[in-house]
Amino acid sequence: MTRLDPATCGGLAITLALVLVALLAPWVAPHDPYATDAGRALRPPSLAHPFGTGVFGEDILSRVLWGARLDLLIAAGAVGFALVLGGALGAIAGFAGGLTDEGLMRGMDVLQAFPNFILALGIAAALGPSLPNLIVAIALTNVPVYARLMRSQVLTQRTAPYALAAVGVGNPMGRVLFIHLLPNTWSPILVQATLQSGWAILQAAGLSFIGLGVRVPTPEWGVMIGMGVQQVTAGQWWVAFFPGLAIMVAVIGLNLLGDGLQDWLDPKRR
Amino acid sequence: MSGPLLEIRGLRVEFATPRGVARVLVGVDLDVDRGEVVGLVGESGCGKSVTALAVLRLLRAPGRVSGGRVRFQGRDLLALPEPGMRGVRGRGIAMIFQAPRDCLNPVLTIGRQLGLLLARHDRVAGGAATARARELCEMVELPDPERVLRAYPHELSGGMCQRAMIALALACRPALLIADEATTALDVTVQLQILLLLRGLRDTLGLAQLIITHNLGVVAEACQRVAVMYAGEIVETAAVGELFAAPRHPYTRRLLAARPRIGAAPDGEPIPGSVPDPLARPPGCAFHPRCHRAQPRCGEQHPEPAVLGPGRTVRCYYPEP
Amino acid sequence: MSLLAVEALCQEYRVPAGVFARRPLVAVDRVSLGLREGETLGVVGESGSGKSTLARCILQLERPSGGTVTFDGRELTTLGGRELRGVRRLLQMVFQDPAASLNPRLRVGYTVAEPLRLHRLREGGAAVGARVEELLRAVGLGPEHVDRYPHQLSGGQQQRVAIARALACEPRLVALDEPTSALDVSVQAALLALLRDLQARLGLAYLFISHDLAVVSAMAGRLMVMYLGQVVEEGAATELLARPRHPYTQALVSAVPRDTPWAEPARLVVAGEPGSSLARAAGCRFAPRCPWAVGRCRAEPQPLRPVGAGHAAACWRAAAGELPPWPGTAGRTERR
Repeated sequence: MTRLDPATCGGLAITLALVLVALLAPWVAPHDPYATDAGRALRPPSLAHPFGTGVFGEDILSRVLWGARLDLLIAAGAVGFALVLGGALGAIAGFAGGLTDEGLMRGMDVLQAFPNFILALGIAAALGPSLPNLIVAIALTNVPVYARLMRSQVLTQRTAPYALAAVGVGNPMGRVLFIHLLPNTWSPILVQATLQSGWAILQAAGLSFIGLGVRVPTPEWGVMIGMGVQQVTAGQWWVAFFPGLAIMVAVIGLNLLGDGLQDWLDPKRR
Repeated sequence: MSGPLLEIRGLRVEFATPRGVARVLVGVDLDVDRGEVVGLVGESGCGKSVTALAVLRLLRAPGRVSGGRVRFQGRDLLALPEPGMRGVRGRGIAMIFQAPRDCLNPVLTIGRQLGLLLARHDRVAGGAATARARELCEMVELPDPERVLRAYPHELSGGMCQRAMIALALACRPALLIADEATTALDVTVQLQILLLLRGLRDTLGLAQLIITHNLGVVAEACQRVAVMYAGEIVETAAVGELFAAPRHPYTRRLLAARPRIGAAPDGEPIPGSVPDPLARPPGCAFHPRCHRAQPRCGEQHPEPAVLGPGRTVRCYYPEP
Repeated sequence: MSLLAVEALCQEYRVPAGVFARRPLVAVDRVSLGLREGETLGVVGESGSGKSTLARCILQLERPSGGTVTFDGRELTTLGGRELRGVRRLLQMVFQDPAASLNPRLRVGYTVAEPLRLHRLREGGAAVGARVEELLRAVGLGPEHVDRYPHQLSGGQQQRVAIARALACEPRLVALDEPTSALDVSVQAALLALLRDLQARLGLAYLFISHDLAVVSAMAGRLMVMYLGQVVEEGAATELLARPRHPYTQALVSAVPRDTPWAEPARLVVAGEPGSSLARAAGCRFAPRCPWAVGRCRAEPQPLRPVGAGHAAACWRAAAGELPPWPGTAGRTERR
């Protein structure tokens, strides 16, 4: 009986399409993303190369399709890691209260005191530019958001009569937390996660753009924008445009999905 | 101006829901005379609050008034353009609500809210406004008016907030005060204070009141006439003494019997079944599926109000003797 | 034969006051009570009286800051962990807001079955399922409700599920915290009838908390009136409601809206509102609003004193016969 509105359907469609593209890239991409051909550098979009070619003659379309793999992996990895770690810290803080709560939250304050991007930059620089480090850097900067969200949810639900009733019928604390409380805290956190996935992609793109993430010539949308930025003034707009478009589509799709997810997860809609 | 102060005829309200059109009010007829206190009593979901909001044209989408007539001081309120309606709200008809603290602006002091109201409706400001504000505080028996006028709503207790809201309601000398479950959220000792206050206002100001409540005790305390509402329509009207002494509609009788009373043995059988879904009203009389006096005719034809005497109507084919 | 004995129960919270200071908020102030098997004790009071806190402290849903709770011979305040969980099943609670007291993500069947599994009262899916249906029938619901979610039920039905859940534990005592306040009058009557019926059949003891004197009088044999954390009067329900001796009880009784428009109830209208338990008053907490308060009332703590057979009031003036007799049915309104 769930009613999916057009926006959510659109978001779901886009996200699914992206996942499909990411999975099927090796078979769908017309060219090898790493293949270069100096003779055909910087050609505008044509039938042979629908998205044009880049500085080294590489096919932009293939690179955009392959880039979906990396960017979705980064988004899923970073957000997933942040959700699990942040959620755990937040749940502990909310449930335990007292000094544990204070200590953890002040730790989160410290992390959030840094501008998000600068912090990611710092972590990435410290760890060294590579894909796993990129994921860790983005994840760490997002941990405080989930920690706070989970903590406030746990605090609210803890004093709810049904939680008290669960204790009252004799549930041990573990069951109260996992069977009663946590399922009622998921919804806003999952929604936040989908919305943040878009942001994670942007962060990855930004970090790669300045060279702290994935390195050239790896097909990743941020790196590609970095490679194409100089070409824009020279009139070769397509090098940076299509990866940018891909990021935009991905972020929109994930955001739309996130918006609709809240309603869909509400048990009252069943 | 002759005729009742407020005259509602055949008021119909619909709510557009994803599952269809919910007919929340199906033809409400109600009169309030000048200086009279009328009670509108019913259980949750019967549409009593919606009636008040419809009269003041405060209904928001997806609700809308789909028919009927509302006359206040001879003017048709449903046909009035919005600027005219704004003149009626607060000046002609004032309303107080259930959760007083939620209905007062939390970032303005009581004095400021009062001042804004006086400036807007009465064009009174400065010394005259302050004097009137103090006068209003006295009228609602607020202790220490100076402190209250300087206070924010969250600094006042529930009872004092309700008195402040009544003061705001009275600021522009309305002819009619609508009280929507105004005492439900208050402690019982405070509730009595407010009910006595409202009775006092009737005596001193001749303020007509429409008291909306689910509590029959409040009706017995405060009202002169009462209308019983069920599933979006009025099923019985009577003077309050008559209603309690000899309820004619089966629903009214069962409602009165179901009340726990001090000293009385827990009475009768509870009413079986439940209030009909506004999306799926039963044919004929809305109460017939639950009625102990129902006959086949009740499920086929929708009863119109039968007049049993002046101000006494019953919407039933087989009323209680 | 005493099932429950509560001695000098206290519950104090520390509330922030100012930047660093904390003030004590005494929600329950040295309350003692006793309850026998199959008996109903009504606890009456307005907001801030501490009645809900009292119930939670007795059931150890909150740990009281002082006093003892002896249930069936065992001291509950010192129990912990598994022992407490075992005893918990014997003291159950039904809450005021039925929708909020049921986990919105769990089906009715699961919610009612959970205690059966936790306490091993039934083994095996079939036995558990049969018992769940039996319990639902006992509260007037049917097997079709087993797979429903709470939001698909009406308020009255939700409260019945909460009662079924409490019954699943096979308790000896059930604390009912304003169980019908959130429900309509017609639904209320049905629920109260159900509770009385269950008590007669299962021999349950009830701790019935309410602000509504009429509801409480239909359910309880004995009453306890609370004001700002203190017990101000206790005694047999009929006696207490007909002849209230403590001024607050008189105000409470007279505040009940009249039965019929022509009734002329005796009225004691007191000004002001219950206030809060923040100010640590040495004496009677009702003194600021009481028409008969004198210096001694404010200065000295007021214990319960006998004012009749099995009837006690925490007012020295009432016990000494210094207060005017309660009119009963003559109409008189005293204002302060």
